[in-house]
Amino acid sequence: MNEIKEWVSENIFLGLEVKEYLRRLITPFNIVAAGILIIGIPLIIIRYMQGLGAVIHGSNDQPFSLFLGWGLFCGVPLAATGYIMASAVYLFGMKDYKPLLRPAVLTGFVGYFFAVIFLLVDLGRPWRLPYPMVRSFGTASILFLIAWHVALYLTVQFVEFSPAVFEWINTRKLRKWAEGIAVGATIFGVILSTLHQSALGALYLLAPTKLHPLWYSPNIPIYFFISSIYAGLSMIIIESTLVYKFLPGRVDPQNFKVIDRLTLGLGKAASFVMITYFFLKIIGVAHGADWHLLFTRPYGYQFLIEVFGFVLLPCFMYVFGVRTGDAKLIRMAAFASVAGVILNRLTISMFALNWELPHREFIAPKEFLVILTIITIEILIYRWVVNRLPVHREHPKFTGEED
Amino acid sequence: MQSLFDLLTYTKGIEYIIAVSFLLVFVWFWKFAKGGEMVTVAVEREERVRVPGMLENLIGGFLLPREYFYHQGHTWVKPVEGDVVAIGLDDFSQKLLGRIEGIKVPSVGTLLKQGEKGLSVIANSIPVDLLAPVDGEVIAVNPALQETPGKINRDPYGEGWLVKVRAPRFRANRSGLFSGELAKMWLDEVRGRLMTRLSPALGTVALDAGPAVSGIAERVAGEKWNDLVKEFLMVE
Amino acid sequence: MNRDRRKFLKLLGFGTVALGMEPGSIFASIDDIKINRPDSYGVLCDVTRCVGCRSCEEACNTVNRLPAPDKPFDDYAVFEEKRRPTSKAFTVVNQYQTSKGTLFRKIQCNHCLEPACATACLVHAYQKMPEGSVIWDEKLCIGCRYCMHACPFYAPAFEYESPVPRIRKCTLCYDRIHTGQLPGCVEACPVEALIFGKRSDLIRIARGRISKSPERYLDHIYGELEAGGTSWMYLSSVPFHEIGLNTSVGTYPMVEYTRGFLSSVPLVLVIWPALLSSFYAFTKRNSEIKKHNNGEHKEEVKNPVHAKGVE
Repeated sequence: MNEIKEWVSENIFLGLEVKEYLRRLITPFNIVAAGILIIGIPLIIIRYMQGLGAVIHGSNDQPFSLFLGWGLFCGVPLAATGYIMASAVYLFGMKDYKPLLRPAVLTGFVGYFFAVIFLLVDLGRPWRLPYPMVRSFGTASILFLIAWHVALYLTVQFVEFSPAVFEWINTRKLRKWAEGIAVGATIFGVILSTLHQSALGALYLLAPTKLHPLWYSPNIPIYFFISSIYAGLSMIIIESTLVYKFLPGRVDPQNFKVIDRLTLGLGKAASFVMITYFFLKIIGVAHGADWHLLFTRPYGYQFLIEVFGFVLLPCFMYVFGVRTGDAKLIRMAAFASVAGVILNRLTISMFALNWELPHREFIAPKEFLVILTIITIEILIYRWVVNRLPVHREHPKFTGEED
Repeated sequence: MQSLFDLLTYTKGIEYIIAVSFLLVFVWFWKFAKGGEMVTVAVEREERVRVPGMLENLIGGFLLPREYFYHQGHTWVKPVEGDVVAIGLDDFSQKLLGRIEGIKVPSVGTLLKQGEKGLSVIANSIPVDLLAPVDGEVIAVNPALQETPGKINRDPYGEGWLVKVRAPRFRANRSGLFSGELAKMWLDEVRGRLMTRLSPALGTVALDAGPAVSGIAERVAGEKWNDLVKEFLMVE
Repeated sequence: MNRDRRKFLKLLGFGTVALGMEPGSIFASIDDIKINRPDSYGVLCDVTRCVGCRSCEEACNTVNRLPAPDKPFDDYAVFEEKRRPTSKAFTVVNQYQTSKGTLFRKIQCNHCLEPACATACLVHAYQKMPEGSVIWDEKLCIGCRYCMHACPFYAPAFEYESPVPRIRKCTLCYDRIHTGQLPGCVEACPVEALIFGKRSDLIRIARGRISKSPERYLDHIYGELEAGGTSWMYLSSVPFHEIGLNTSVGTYPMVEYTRGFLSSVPLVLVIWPALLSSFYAFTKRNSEIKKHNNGEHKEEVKNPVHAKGVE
């Protein structure tokens, strides 16, 4: 009993007395977060009591609004961190990136978990979420593929992250088992990721008459997959930047020495992916013979801004950063790249979809608040985990036990 | 009769052209990205400081010029003119810390107190505090250190001076400083203390005479180097 | 070595299960949507005859027991804006100013021969019935609204205002035609602008009308080939986009657009594990060679008998 008390005190309350811990919770960030939650959580409850229309801005013509546009279409590529880092470390032998492996897997796991949370709020009948898994299979549907793969991938990510959990609750045997299947889980994870990242794009294959030709292409799945790669790489950079700045006490001191070098490496990889992606987009325009559309208002200009300002520009920021060893430039490029991916996904899911329909509204304050609420919860949970589990640092009882 | 433009833009031709140009651009891109690496390495080599192997130091001793006064926190004082003195890091501490990457010194006009924290240097990306050896007012900061902090390693008693201070109470402060024979005895004792920290495994590493970037503290204590430094520089 | 073999077998197991799940079943469900069902029914809507009386809307409302509308059915001010089917109205009539004057067109689900909604639904909640109706099953729907996204004609409507929302759309009066009756709208139309019958017969009738009065009709039956063919077809005197029909839908059934991607799935499931395992094996071998060259001992070279004893 005493052992459990000790563990709870050390690992839940960070070694502080409960009163002290509660007092320390009052920080500006937490106050703002609490404010958001106080407004947002009742809105979510209203959504369940009064139906989707009370909070979500979907219509009969445009069923997917900002809510799913952010939660699913942006959330999933931004959570692509796990499979990329796991491949780099386990499959390509880049052991130098080990300090970033667990954070990347955690980012991925939390990201996908919250994509499911977004779904649970957005689905008309969320209690039927397991239906495509157990009740009835619509196998011709790409959404079916996505449902299965996200469920499987969530499991895989948890398995990949479980060594950290097992270290935290001090179970050596389970941890050893989890580490043992890490490579198999990684390979499985890459397969699943390839398929569902591209499947999210394939969802738009069924809407050739609705998506603006500059974004529609039979190769949308490939675009989504490739942009998820550099989105994941950029998110790893952003996550480490934020954690090293705001939670430095939770990071192993020697990581501070290597993080700049690792950031440069990630930036280099991202730049190669992005220059490839840029050319693929150009080929897409050529394939559809859509050159004349490039100079239309507003879609043509938006496409140009997206491709030149948010793909090519960050790509060159990365390359210059690598060339001059400037980690700060790389970090700025990471933010720009992620902004570009968000812009691309929101454009495809909302703005360029049904572009020929009149009277479309995108501004929905209640929906925006609910999105903000869920993001806040996501950040709080992430912070809770990094503060307590050995994510950015080694667990003192398990140091040096990596293979 | 189709124009060339029509031919290119509306047939497969343009796609192949784009694909081929991508391959060419990619090759250039790769070189461009790699080019940076070579440049950085060259710069690093220039700035690398020739620090002799560790055993050499411990056996041969550390530099301790005669005309200087030393504080037990391993900072030195040298009278310059009137009541103005220069302050810097001694040879022991620059070898302990390894490559100095920058300095954080107070601005002109700040008051220093002997034995209290007042200046710091940056090693391994972390600021390391130093104790001020005298009471006084900072009247100048070494401008050359902004560009080349490595001077502290290369010439700790000359071009690597940190600040100049007006010290009206220098005569009184002198009782808290070592010089001459006393300084030598003090440094012998310090060296002895350090030798007891040596672990046997370091023997092979210390014998290499090549240029080293990390300091003695890091070689002895690894990630706990900062604790070792604080102990020897007498900082809290 | 044992570890690798175990992993490989695991992968093989997963791969087989996944393969078993995917391609075979796809073709099963596409077979459900049989293209050339000559006996399936349809409706021919002759836009040149429609007078915009909205009797069809009223009949639909009655037959399906829908709630009373905001504006009554004889209120023709509704024509000032373009409407679409909603959760409370399975069909609407819109007024269009065309090159040949004012025309009216009835909008409802077109009951495609290979419905995009059925392709899109991940729980198989849509079924193309032999009679021609495309029916939505309330017992399975999870409310994802992907069917609404997929339908090129914007037919399905969703009950956003309900905590237990349903998809609402025209059912081609499945219960009525199943028992030999006419769909409500067809029966109510006073000018016989709507004809119900076997799809193949309707096409013949339509062709007949076109050839008899070529000045009255455009030489095209909308819905004969659009989106792979629909059960609800239109005849018009003006180009179809003038009466609000999408002429860029193309003749592929929507499911064809996803076939390419779906067939690449088993390829990935087979090629990726092989490729990635090779990377892993190559990397591992590489690092083992490096370790060996550095004179360090491989941990794994243990006498199995000893290892057992230690445990």
